[in-house]
Amino acid sequence: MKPAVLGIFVIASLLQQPPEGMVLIPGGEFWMGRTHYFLIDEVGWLERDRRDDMPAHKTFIDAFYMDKNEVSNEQYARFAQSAGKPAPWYWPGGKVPKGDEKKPVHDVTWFEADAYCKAAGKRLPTEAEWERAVRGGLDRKKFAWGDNAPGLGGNDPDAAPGGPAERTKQAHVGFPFGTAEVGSYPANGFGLFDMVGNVWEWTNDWYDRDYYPVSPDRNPQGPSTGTYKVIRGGGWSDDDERNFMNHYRNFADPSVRTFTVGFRCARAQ
Amino acid sequence: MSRAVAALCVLVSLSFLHAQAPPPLDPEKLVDQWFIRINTLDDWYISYDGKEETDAVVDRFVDLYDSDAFHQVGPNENQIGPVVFHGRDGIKKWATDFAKKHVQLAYRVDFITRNEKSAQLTYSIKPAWGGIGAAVEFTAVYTDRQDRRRIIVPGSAFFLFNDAGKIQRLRLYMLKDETALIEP
Repeated sequence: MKPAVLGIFVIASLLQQPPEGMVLIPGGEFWMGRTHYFLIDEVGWLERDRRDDMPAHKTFIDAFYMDKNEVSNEQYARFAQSAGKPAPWYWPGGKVPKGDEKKPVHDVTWFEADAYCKAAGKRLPTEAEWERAVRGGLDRKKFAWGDNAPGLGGNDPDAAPGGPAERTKQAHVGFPFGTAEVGSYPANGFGLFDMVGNVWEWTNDWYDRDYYPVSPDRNPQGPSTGTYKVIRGGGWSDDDERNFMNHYRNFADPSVRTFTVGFRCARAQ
Repeated sequence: MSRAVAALCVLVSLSFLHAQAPPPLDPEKLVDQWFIRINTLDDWYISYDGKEETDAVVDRFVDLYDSDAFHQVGPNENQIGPVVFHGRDGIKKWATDFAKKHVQLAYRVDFITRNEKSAQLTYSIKPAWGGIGAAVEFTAVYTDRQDRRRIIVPGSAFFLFNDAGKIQRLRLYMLKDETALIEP
């Protein structure tokens, strides 16, 4: 093989590689939304079933890249410093607390998360991309790993990170003491960590409970306007298994900072 | 004299009150309007520049609904679970899609015959919160615009109308298992 041809081949192969810290989510069709019913009188969550995640609908998504991990404190610190953004309130003196470098950042608004992703040449994932990603290639399963609920440590002292109960869990949920380092739990089928638990994740879409019946079937971008942004995935403090289900939709004021909401970024292939 | 004036005042007041009271809701007429307007959803045209001009017929249909109405249908082949359209914008989207996919629409309330007498029955009830509820069994006949197949399918519709006669909620059930092709 001539060196020039070899060079082109190497460059082409490198171009196929996902950017550092990202995973290629293959394009394709998947069932988005809830395909099962809750009998509310049996599970007792709500007086009435909120059906904002119905109907489940076939959705086509173009291939895209997704961050393997939630954005960590140390990653956000570099951005905040260079962009002149305020440090989250829980960083004493504006510095990441020692030992928390690898934990996901939280208490950032949607606008700050959006700015972080843009500064990195990325963007926040759409809600449909996020759901495509969390499913890890599984079809119509309740959770990222299948149909079984995650083990919940609750207030059990054994549930502390590294403890016996914690190790049996699929995700960092139902934990009373805060976030865990990103990537501490098994990855899903696409190689993404903490899609469930640790922190809820901002998505790019506005929330509208009536959106699914009118959602386009290819690369939906969400409603054109709204009051709240969609957050997905559940957080460390949640112990209601519904929050961790692939289809579960939650929402938050984009200007709000809260201790259970962080983010990760995506970008087009 | 004063008695006559008082009586006149009472009469005037009564007639005024009578004039203020809205006419009673007629469930048959309200349901009939819905069938008339769904059947005109195929009555749109393509403009000279190739645009499908559905707004006029769709807006006329959507005008039957309250601004906060719910319109629930069954899932299509690419959906699972309840499909609820909310508000006039959502319902307009459904109606536009429906209008573009179907031609020769012929929805009609079923006839029931007993003792050599036939009638199109509208079952109705007055809910505690006002307005009126109505239900009908119907047969939908339409032609698929794309493949030109003519389809017949039985269904039922449950309406809730508010005091102004606008639809607050409509649930449409179509019996997919009884769907049949009409042979030419």
